[in-house]
Formats: sequence, structure tokens, C-alpha cells
Amino acid sequence: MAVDYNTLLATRVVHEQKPITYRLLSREQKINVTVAKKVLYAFYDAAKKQYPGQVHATYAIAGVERVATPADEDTVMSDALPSSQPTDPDSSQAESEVRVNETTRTTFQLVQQEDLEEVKLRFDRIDMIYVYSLEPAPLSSDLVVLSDCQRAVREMDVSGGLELFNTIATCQNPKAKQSSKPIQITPPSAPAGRAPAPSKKADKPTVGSGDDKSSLAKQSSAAQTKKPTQRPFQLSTTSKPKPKVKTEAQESVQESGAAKMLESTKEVPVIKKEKPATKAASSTKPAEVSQELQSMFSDNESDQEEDAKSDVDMIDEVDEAPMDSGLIGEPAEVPDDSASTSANDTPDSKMDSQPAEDPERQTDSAAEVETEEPVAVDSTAPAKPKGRKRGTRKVEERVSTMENGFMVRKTVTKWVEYSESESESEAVSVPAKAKPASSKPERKTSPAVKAEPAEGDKDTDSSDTSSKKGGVKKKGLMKGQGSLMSFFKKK
Amino acid sequence: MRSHFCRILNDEQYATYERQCDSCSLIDKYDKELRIDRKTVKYEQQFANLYFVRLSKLKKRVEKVASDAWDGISLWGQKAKQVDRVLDVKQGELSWVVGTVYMEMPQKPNILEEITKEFWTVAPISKDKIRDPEHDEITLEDDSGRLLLAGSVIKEQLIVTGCVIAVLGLETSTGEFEVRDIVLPGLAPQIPHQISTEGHKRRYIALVSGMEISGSVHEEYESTMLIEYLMGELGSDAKLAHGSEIVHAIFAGNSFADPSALETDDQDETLPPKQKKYGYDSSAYKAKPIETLDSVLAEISMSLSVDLMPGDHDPTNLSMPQQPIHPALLPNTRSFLGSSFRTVTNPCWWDMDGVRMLGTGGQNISDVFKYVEGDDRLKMMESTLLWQHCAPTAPDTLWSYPFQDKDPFILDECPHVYFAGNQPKFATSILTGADGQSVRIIAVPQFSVTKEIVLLDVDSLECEVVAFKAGAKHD
Repeated sequence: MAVDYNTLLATRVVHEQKPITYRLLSREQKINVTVAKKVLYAFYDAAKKQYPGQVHATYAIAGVERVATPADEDTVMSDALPSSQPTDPDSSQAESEVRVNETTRTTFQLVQQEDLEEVKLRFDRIDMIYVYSLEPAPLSSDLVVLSDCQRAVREMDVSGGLELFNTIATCQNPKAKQSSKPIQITPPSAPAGRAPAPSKKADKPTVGSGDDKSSLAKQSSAAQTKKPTQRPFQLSTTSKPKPKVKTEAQESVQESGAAKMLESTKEVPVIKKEKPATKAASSTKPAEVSQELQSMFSDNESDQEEDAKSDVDMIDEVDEAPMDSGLIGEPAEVPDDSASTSANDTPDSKMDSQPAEDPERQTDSAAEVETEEPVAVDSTAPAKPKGRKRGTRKVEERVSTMENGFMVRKTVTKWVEYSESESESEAVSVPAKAKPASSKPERKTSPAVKAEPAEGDKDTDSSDTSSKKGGVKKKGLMKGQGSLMSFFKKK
Repeated sequence: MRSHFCRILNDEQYATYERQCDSCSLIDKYDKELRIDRKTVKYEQQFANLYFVRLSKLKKRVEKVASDAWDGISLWGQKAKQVDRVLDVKQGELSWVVGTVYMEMPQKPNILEEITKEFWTVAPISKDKIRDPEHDEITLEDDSGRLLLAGSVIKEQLIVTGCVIAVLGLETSTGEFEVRDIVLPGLAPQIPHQISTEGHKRRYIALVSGMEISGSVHEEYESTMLIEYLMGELGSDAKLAHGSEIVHAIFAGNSFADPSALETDDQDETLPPKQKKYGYDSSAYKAKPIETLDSVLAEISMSLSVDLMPGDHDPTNLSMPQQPIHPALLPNTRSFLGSSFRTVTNPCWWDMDGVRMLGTGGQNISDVFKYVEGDDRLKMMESTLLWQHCAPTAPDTLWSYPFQDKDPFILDECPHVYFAGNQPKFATSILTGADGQSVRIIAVPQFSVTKEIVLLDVDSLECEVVAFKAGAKHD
């Protein structure tokens, strides 16, 4: 065994010129840290003869340092090892309370082999010395090299988890239990609210498609099989709770939202459709959380792919529908617009306002959106099934186009590539809440809670629409997480 | 000198220790008071209610102590009488009255002054101390009015705005109340607890404060050594420096690095400056500190029970009482939630096998520091215990939530251990009270500056310091 380690260490330190600390050795070799320290020493000893001058050791010393005791008349009591002395003249006078100023002070110090003897002299009592790390050459004073090792150790610790730790550690905590699933911290009201919403929306398609006269696309989609109609519908509803979930997450709990999503999906007849939506949602959050959410849904991955494919077929059908509807024309137009509209607006705040609007919009716009929603999300889902950790985020944009003589301002959801340099929007952009101006007047009367326009830059033509939009948005501001960003968006 | 150079044998026996299970739990009664329910939170109410509650609760206690002290006393032929309201004090009569201290301090940052001076280009210089003995006025206030206090006795007393005291004296012809004696509420009653010094199996709590993990390349190595020590790996013999005897670690504030200190890191100046955007520029978010802290806490949680308390740079609300840092920010550590990891409020009460502990992230003491002269942190901490209020300057200069019907900072009982984090250096003392109370007061030093942590022995309430040094040479 010892021989193996020696060879291993020789390869690493001498030939590969890479440093190694005892912790890194213990994690890599799955040996106890105490043994690792001894292994390092054994090799160092041997290396002094075998590879003279090529192996440099850094030691760790622990003990009690010698501290100079200044003769200070203000000191209440001086001790060989004072660790704190009252420096303020006011405070050190005799008080009725008892002051205790002796404290044992242990120091751990890392020392390079060259300085070992000198540092040893500074200690009053040395409790231990051992080899902390071995490297090919003396270390720079900021020990950056060791930092690299410890980062590797940290990654191994985090991925290895408790099992690895208990194998190698000297001090184990019997209380520590690592749960594999994310802990759910569910606010009590939320699941109840979530569950009825999707099921309610299931009724909508029949109503919505009946009312809808304006776009042939919708009718064509309605004319399609019940399943696709229902599925996009589920998607539309769930896509709303999904960003809503995220809003809540921003406030409080993220994983509970995902958990709730999980719960609600089970209640809804069509489960599979939810996955791309939720997954899409999760990807916009920081990496770790999205990984977790993805892992939760990972078992449904295979189903997801199949669904996505079938959706792609449906998308093609929809795209081929007559083009006189502005809605279908949208996907083509929007990419042009997206180039003009800055994608640099804050995605988070948009998402904030977006979910807030959702409850209102759900009841109204669900019908119209049904076509677009599946188109949008599905096309992206197969395109990027995995790994959207920090890659893309959903951004809501306001896009205005001319349609049928009316100026239409739509709120469009885009998948935006997020990168360090600049945010570039991707080709796929989808009208998330398409509201063709030519359509129903009755929508304007529905939940316009605050009719005041949030934005002042309205076109007079579409003032109704936009004021409705603004009104709903304002309500979203009031109700949901609220962001001032929407106020500044157009400016 | 014991060194650990040994040959390894094939069947080496190495000692593994299991940490003792700690029963360090939060005290439900206080925890409920300190947590703010986000669903019912409102900021529309006035802060005055907080003062009313404080006065009504503490007045009774002070009155009792004051009447014990002053009943029957007579000065210059006059008997001291208690006066109910501050404005009822009659000129020339020896009387005593209870009220809340309010210090009128011209150097205190004043929003009205800032507004009137906003046309000046000079930015206000932030001072460490706002106390100016020449110009400060100390008044005693209650729901009826304010009374200006004068006299050397009051000027030398360590008091701050917001503490409730009783003063004995007479009103002079100028309308000022000349103070002859002051009485504080004193230490609150303490649940008795026996401290034992015999060492069978010792248990230690590690108090770490101001760790300031930034995750940058230039992060100091001492923080790694600290983690190794807490995991029990740093000592050769795990019993060394009580490594294996630590049962619990409390990170008391500022575990995250100061965000302003991170700005210069990893900045690429060759990039064209971004367009000024309104609102939040998400690409400016630096995930490194939180990712690093997450891995650090996950590592430590594997070996030790950890409590994470927020400080003034941590990602939680700034107003006191700070709410626990949400575990969603720490995805890896979150899996230990409920077993060995916990996020707590600031301030927080713990009960460890009968030892009642009160800890804060240090903002309360740092705020008191501004009001008084000198830098004796221990004295300030003792004073907060004697005032039976751990954050009297809230809500005046210490931002606080406008509580309506309670003041969670009032100390209804006296803890056995009282610590405050992020202090400039380590200090400890024992404060004893009139009724036999005894408190161990600890000022926990900031780790990022001093590289020290404090170990508290649960059974004997003794403290030890563990220091870490890395780097080639030290003076």
C-alpha cells in the first residue's frame, strides 16, 4: 500500500509538477485524512533521498503562541497568554462585575519548510506538526496554489456528499442527514390555489374556441384533435402558474413551487405537457436550482421528447394555416422586432409582471393563446431539452406591429440567450399573450381592475387595448411582486 | 513537542470520533416573536407604537427597582416622591420619574438637514460616532412629554436613545431636571442553571462571525483552514484544540462578503461600458460568493450542526430583526436542512440543554457604539443587559420593523450566554446581577480581520480562542 502511494505521489508532484494537500489525497484515494497525512509524510521522507530538492513540504503547526505581555498599568490581570486586554482607560477600572480575562488561545499556522524552525521558536507549546501539502516548489505567500487544491476538494466534497465524507472523516456527525430530494417548504395556501386553476382551465377550450371568430388559426387549431387543443391549453395555464411559481420563488420558496407544480400536474389530466414548460421555467434560474428541478423531472424526460416531437408536427400544421391572421404572422414578424427591441431589459422584472398578470389573463386570453403557447414552448423544448442552466431566460417584450389596419401591441415571450458579454435574443420568440386588437371587445371589460395606463406612450388607435394591457399590467404590479421595470420599459 | 511523523503501517488504526449529538434548539417563544410573517407585514404604521410598548413593559420593572432604591430617601429635608408622568414634575421638589431616554444629537444624520442641504455638493461625511458631549441634549420622554435632563451624573452615564430608566432629582428654575441618581432595570430574572467544570466529555460551540466568503481567487487561505478545523481535519489528533468536541457551530453574521468589496474583482475593463439600464442589471450578478458559501456550509454541515445567522451584508432584510437567510439561496446545504443545518433570525435565542443563549450579529452593539464615548464593547453589551433591551437604538438609528403590539428586543429573561458578532476584537467577561444572575458575555471578533474564532464550553461557559495563520511569514 505504501509503495503505491509513493509512486502515486511521485508521479503527481515530481513528474506532473502538481501540488497535493492531504485533503485532496484523502478524497481522491478515499482514505481517512489521518492516514493521508501520514502517507504524505512517508513520501516526503523517501523523497528527500530519491528526488532531492524536487519535493517541497508545507507544514501545519498547532499550538500556543508566545505572546509578549506589555507592562500595562491598566491591565486588570496579566497572564502568560492574554488574548485581550482592555485598551480603553475608561473601562478597565475596577467594577462591581467580575471580569475574567484569561483565555486559552490556540493557533494553527501553515508554514513552509524553510520557515519551520523559525516559526517553531515562536510557539510556547507545540501540540502537533504534520505535513499539510507537498508541491514541487516553494509556495508564493498567498498560497494560491493551495487554493486551487482546496477548490477541487470542495467540489469533490459537495458532489460526494455524506457518503464520501463519512469514509474519510475523523469527526462524524451522527445527526447529519442529507436528503436527496429538495426539502419542500410549502406555504399552506398555495397548493390549494394551484390545484383548481389548471382544472378550471380545462373547461375553457370549448368556450374559448366557440367565441373566437377572428383568427382562422385558432379555428384551425380548434378544429384539430381535442388532445392538442387541450394540451396547449394545459400548457398555457401551467405556463402561467409556472412563472407565477417563479415569482413566489423569488419571494420565498422555489422548490416548493416546483413541488407544487408537481402536485398540480398530477391532478391535471395531461401531465406530460407540463414538463417542457416547467423545465423551461426552471432553466432561467441559477444553475443549482434548475439542476434540482430538472432532476425532479428527469424521469419524465423520455416522455417529454416524444411529446415534443408530436408537438413539432402540430406546429408545422399551424404554421401552414392561412396567413391572414396576424397571430400566425407574428412569429415571423416578431424576430424582426426583437432585433429592434432591446433584449437587455431586465428579464426578471418582466417575469415578475408577467406572472402577476396571469391570473387575469388566464380567464380571458387562454382561448386565444392556446395556439401560440404550444407553438412557442414546444418548439423551444425539443430544441433545448437540457442544459439550459444559465443559458436562456424567458424575457417578456412588448412588440408593436401593424395588423389589419390596427396597431397591435403584444407582449411577447422570448427565449433570450444570456451570456456575460451581451444578451442576445434567440430566433424563437413567441407571443405569449397575444391580444389582437381586432378581437373581442368583451375582453376589455373583463378584469380591468385599474384602468389607468401604466405607460404613458400609448397609440391612440390601440389605446383601448394598450390601456387594457396597461391596466392589467398595473394590476399585476399591484398584486404580484411588482416591478418598476415595466414602467420604464418603453423609454 | 509532539509531532506526527510516523510510518504508516498496512493495517493502520486511526481514530474516528463521533460528535456528541447536540440539543441546541431555538426557543420557540422568542423565535415566534422575532420572525415576521411576510403575509401580514405592513410598513404603513408609525414607529411610535414600538416606543409605547417598550415604555409600558419596562416602566413597571424600573419602577420596582427605583422604589426599592429610593423609597424613603430624603435629600435636603425632602422626601423623594414618585411622579407618574414626566410633565408632572414640579419645580423644586425632589422626585423621581421613569421614562425613555431620547438624546438630541446634532451630529446624528438627519434627513431634514440632508434635504435642505441637498444643493450643496459636499457629501455628508459619515462618522463613526455621533456623540458630541458639548452639544448633545439628553431628555427623558414618555407619553406626556419630554423633560430635559442636566447634571454631571447623567452625562457620565452610559445611556442611549431608547433605553428606559428612572431618574431622581429636582427641576431647576430653568426647567431642566437636575439628576441626582439613575436607576436601570437591571438584569432580568434568569432561569437557574448549574455550570459544571468537571470535564468528562466536553462540548463546545464554535462561534464564528464575519467569515466574509467571497469565493474569489484571492480569498485568504485562513477561511479554508477554518473549514478544515471545523470539520475536524486540521488537528492531527482530533481532540486537539477540541476539534472533535465541537458539537455546534454558529455563524453569527456576515458570512457573505461585503458586496461593495467585490466590485473590483474580475472586472474586465476592456469591455465597453454597458448602457445604463433602469432597474436591475442581471448580468452584474456575481454568483461566486453564494456558490462558495453554499459549498462551504454543505461541507461543514456534513460534520457539524450549523446555524446561520444573518449580518448586515447578508442577503436578507436589513431591518432588525433580520429574518433567516432563505435556504433556497443555498441549494447544496439545503439538503441538510432539518438535520444539521438551520437558518436563524438575528437576534436569536437558543437553549442548549438548559443553557439559554442570546446572540446577535453585532449591529445592535455597533449602533450603541455610535452613541457613547470609548470603545469598550463589553461595557456596551453589559449595558444592554442592564437595560433589559438588546437593541434600544432601534428604531431611531438602527433600522427596525415597526412593530405595533410587541417589542421583541426586550429581554424578559436574562440569558446565560450573550454574544455579539462582528466585533473588532475578542473580549469576554462575566456579569453578575443582584439576584444571583450570571451571564457570560462574549464579543466575537470578525474572522475576516482577526482570523479568530471563539469556542464556548457549554458546561463551564468558558471561552477559548482559536486563531489561524497562513502565509509564509508573520510578524
